Amino acid sequence: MTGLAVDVVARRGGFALDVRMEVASGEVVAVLGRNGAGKSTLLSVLAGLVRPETGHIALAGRVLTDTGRRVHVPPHRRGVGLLAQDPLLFPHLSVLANVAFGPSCLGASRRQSEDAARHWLSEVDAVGLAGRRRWQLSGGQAQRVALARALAAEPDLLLLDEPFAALDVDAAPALRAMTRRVLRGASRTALLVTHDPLDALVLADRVIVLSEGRLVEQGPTRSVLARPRTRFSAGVAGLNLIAGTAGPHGLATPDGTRLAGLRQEPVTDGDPVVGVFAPSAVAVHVRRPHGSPRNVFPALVAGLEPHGDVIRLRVAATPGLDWVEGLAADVTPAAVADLALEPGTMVWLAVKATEVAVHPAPSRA
Amino acid sequence: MRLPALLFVPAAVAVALLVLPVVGLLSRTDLRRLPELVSSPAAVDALWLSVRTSATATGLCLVVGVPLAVVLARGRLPGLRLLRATVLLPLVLPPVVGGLALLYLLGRNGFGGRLLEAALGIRLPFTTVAVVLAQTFVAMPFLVIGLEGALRTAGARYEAVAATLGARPFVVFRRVTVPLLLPSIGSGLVLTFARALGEFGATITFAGNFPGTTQTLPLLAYQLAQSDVDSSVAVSLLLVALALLVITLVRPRVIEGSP
Repeated sequence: MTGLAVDVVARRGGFALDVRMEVASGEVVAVLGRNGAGKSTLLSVLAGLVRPETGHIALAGRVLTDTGRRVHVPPHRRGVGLLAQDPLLFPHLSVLANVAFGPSCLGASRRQSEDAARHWLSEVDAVGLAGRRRWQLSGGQAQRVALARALAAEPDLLLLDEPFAALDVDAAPALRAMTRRVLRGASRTALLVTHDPLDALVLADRVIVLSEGRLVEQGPTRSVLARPRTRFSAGVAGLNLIAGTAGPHGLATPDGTRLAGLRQEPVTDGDPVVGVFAPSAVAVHVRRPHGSPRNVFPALVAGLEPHGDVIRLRVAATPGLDWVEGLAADVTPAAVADLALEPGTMVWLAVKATEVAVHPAPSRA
Repeated sequence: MRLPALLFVPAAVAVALLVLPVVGLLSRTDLRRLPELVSSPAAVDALWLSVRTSATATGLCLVVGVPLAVVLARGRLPGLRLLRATVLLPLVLPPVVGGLALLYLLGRNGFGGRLLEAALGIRLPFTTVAVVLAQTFVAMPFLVIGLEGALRTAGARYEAVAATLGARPFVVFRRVTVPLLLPSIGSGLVLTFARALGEFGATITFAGNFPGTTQTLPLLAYQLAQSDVDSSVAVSLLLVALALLVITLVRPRVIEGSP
């Protein structure tokens, strides 16, 4: 295969990254995971900045790392580009010289490098910035230049480490669209670390989810975000997720609570499953409701935050119902006022069985 | 931000301690004879020697000190902590002791000195080269420690990016590390030159006090203080003026270079 093949174990202090994955040539893969899940370590290992303890990395038909044969290609010969959250433009160089840096390192003459730099600046609509210095650029402009600089080095693999996270809300969409254009247009192989499901949806063909240094979930972006199997990817997608085992009614949580739900795929009773439902599917009551919702359980209001036109309620568990911790419910501002909801208020959450989708769970949820 | 008023009292004491001795020196100066005293052949020789040796020592510090700072800040060698402590040695060692150490290494009976004499026929002690070595020895930490700190503060992120753009290690050093470090190198060199200019103890023990070859301005000031106080004060003023000139003229230009 001509894409990327990775099978490594890397340690940093007490943390271990143990990942096996492949990225096809021209494919863009989003890497999701909490802070500390190993995303940055994975990128550092791929870029050659951190040596894995054991393992093998091949890119575009070349072996970059093979601990068994003591192969470790240094960062400057790997053909792996890096675009971080901070654009890190060299402050002592103009924009043009920044973008020309890569081509000149690859042996191009000054004139060729500058021609290449102008070409890549035009790819990101930044030709007009060529003569500027870093401090004369806005955050979005600097990140566009950094993207052009990374591309100008003609990497076989581009690593994007939360490239839009530090940008204003106004600048991020434009840069996201631009990145999509340059990634898709030239069908580049890229790995994108992000917290934003939108980044993954817009840019990635496929999503992988890391947790505690391991790959716990992967699949096409839309299906992972629509049918998350881990609490993390549910959180990224803005969904609630409850883990348990399959039963005839739906699922049973570890403490034995039965939740009614609809199976999305065939599962055997007793198998690990997850129940997924949207915060908008949760009704909030101050007294125990009687009616059609099959799933009714108590919780404590932990926090309230605006979420678009609604208020997103985060709840904490009441004793004996640990799985309730962290669930979200969307309510209108009027309801918050009517019910006098504030942190510490005891509430009843109700979810219709038809709103709870039951999926087979990955072995490590 | 408004500064707490209380800070101004100790700050004023500190300024007094730094400035009043110079005032004392000025008050003792016979201004009418000053031009004549500072232009005496001995003073001019010493001034010229001081400038030459200090500039050479500063150049030496630049050539070996910048690479040392980069190794200390970025290297992953065993024993680096010990090496870092060693760089501080000339700062904590009395300069006279430094001079003695140099003498016992490179003197006629030192093993380094014997080696040099046998292999190349060179004798270092009590030569102008010895003056330069003594100055380099005491002044080096002023450059290295400042640069190492600057490198650590800056972090290696720019260098990592340069590497992912295809720059091999020496290109990273030449095109990223050094340019980013230029402001710190500039201010470090000013300090280094000033320290070399004022160097006395190591010089007199390792290089001696021979007019024309090893008698720098501080040594001349010391010698004159025992016989001709007026001349000594004049030479001292010359040294103060030279140091102030270097610090005020060069420093602002160095700082302008930073982004």
